[in-house]
Amino acid sequence: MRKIGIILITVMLIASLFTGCAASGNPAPAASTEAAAKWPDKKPFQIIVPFKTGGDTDFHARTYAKYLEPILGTSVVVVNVDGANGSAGSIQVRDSKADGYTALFFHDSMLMNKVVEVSDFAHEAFDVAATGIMDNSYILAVNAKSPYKTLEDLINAAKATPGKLNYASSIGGYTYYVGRQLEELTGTDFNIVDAGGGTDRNAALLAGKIDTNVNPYGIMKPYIDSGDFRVLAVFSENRSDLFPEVPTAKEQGYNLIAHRAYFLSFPKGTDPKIIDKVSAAMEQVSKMPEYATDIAKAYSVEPAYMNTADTKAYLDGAMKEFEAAKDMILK
Amino acid sequence: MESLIIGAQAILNPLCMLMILFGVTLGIIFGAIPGLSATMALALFLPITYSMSPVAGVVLLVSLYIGGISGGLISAILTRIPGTPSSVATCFDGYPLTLKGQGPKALGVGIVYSFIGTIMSTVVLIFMAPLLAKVAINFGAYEYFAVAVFSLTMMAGLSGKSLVKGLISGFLGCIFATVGMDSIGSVQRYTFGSTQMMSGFNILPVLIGMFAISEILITAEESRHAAKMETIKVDIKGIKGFGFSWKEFFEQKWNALISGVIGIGIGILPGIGGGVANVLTYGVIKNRSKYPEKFGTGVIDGIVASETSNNAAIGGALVPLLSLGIPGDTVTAMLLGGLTIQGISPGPLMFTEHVDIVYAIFLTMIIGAVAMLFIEFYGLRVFAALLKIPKYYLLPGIFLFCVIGSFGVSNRMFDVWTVLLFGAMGYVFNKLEIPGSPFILGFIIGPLMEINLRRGLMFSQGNFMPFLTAPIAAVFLVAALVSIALAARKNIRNMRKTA
Repeated sequence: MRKIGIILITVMLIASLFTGCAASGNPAPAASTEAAAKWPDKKPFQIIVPFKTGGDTDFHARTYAKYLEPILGTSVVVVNVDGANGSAGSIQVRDSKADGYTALFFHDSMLMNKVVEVSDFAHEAFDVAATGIMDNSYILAVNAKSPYKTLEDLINAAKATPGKLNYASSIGGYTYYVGRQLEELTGTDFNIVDAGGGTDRNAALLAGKIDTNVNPYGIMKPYIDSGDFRVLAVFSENRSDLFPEVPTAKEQGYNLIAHRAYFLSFPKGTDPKIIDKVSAAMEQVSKMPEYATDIAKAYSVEPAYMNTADTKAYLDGAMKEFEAAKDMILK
Repeated sequence: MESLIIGAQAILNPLCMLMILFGVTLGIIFGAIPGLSATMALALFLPITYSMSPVAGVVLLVSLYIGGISGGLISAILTRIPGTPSSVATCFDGYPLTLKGQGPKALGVGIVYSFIGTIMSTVVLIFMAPLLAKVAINFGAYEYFAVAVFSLTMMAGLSGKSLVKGLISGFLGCIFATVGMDSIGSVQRYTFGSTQMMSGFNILPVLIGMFAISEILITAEESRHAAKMETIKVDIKGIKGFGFSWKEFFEQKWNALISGVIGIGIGILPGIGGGVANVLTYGVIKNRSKYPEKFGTGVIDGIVASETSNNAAIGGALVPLLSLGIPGDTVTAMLLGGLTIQGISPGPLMFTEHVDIVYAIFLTMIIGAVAMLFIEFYGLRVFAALLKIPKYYLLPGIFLFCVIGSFGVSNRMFDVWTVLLFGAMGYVFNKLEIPGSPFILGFIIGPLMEINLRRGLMFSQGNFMPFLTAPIAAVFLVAALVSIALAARKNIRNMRKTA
């Protein structure tokens, strides 16, 4: 008798689990224009970060929140909802009420998640507000003890020993895509391996377990400063003002550009007036010198704001690019 | 010495001292309440440190960390519900002592050895961090795989009476850990099309469910049969000092030393953490003991093993964090985030460029450990008095915290369902007399083994040989074989004895 009871409880719990998952909020009708005009009306504005506390996305969201508060005149609360490479938080915001009090702070991985089929939606499921920061600091570094002094040295070495040089990335992640692009562009064949996240890869490069590593400058900075790593190229249009000694890949004859836009988006159906208000406030923040100091100190990036229309165009373009490269990414 | 003075200048001021007191006290409270953990305390306070000075911020976070890991012993010993994942093994011998009326003694032992574990690991951190970091970076995929295999062999030591049941538990742990997206190719496993399931089961709700919710369910069931709920009697009056003698203290010296070394070692290797350290060390100490059969009935050796190792893992985890910038677990990942935001990037230059921060951390660990010792010593009587609260008030309260704590992990309802599911599972395990600790080992180590096997094969392009020929990996694999052989021999002997 008791056993039956246990089974019953277990079954009930499992059942409740699924109903819990299936529950989804219906998007509320657009807030009345009157409410939109008053927004934020001293009510707390919640920004969902789809990753844990302490990462780059969390940092950028919180830095924005800090400077947005006095401009918007309300408290800006950052909430971390992590899981499924950012999809869990995205779903939560997508299914929230479109009253302008909940927004999502995410980046290009939202699109990549759709391409690698981790999620079935991307930015089209939201009302995009603006890009707060564009990270143009993707660099390629090698161990300073290695013989490679320029990007060309590395490419030539890769050509001489196809499939031997280890390139680290997470499969299906953005740096994996960059690596595949590098292979296609130069006609080389690297051995693309998974060596963990940003900091794990630093250790792997230091120990010589991998031959090259692509990541934003800020993640590798301690090792670049200590002279353990040598930077061969930055994958941006122009050299960075924060590390001007590093040549771009383009200068060296390889037209490879990598970037990541951290953008804010609202649930579909949010009043455009609210979106305009937030976007304008974000633009104001991006021009503040103390904001620039904060982000340069922590992640070696420069402020780069994009308004609603530009962000949409950027995301549409990025999506097309990823979709076209789908076979390459899912290889 | 000069660096020490710089560090001392940075933190020897009233604000930092208050911060340590506040952090350790709050950490202990978070640790002591099942459901709330050290991780959660840090997550809550991390954003607040953004606006503090770098030293004050890091002092607060490290204090919370120390208090949080130690505080778990209180509820583990008094109610058999571990306050944090790091105190699971503390229950095994702590609670039986409480039942014998020796609760304050068990608490005293736990507190003193938490202190010793922290101090041991701090000493290692201060004098050997850069050296150990150099060793740690040589651990790649092959080596981690071998370490994982070796760790899994410890299941035998944790299995209790029946090896088969222990293995069932351990392998169920491995299986449940596979739910969600796989860590390399993002392939979905057992998600049944649910997006919530994609991130898998978080370790914290799984542990809280297995050890806290199940315990509440069992007590609730027992209360139906018992005519009157007994409150455990705790005699505080006759207790002097920490409740145990110098003789007992000296008897534990080797246990403490070994537990400390294992704790530090596990702390240094990223991805394992205090949650495994205490369980694994308990297994090791039990195996080498002259009286393994007494473990689980209330010997202080078990508490020494668990509490020394989990606090030793703190100093261990700070080794790769400070000298390489690699966080070993969720707590150190948050510390890294806290430092990064202040513009301080831990790494090779940390010990030269940010001497003040590094030594502020060292001193905080020492002062924090002393503060912990005093706060818990004077709190001992208060904690013991908590048991006077009737269980029908205490346990529903704990249940509530477990649910809130699970929700707080990533602000999702899914984790609440997880805690309830694993609570039910822990209850069933208890009924079938299946031990829970191998499950945890499997749940944490299983994925570590998988990911490193697959990473290793990517490095070697499908060749298995490097797993055997890499020297460090080979040592651990041989150790794993020896461990299995010893366990098998013991088991066969026991069978002959009983036959």
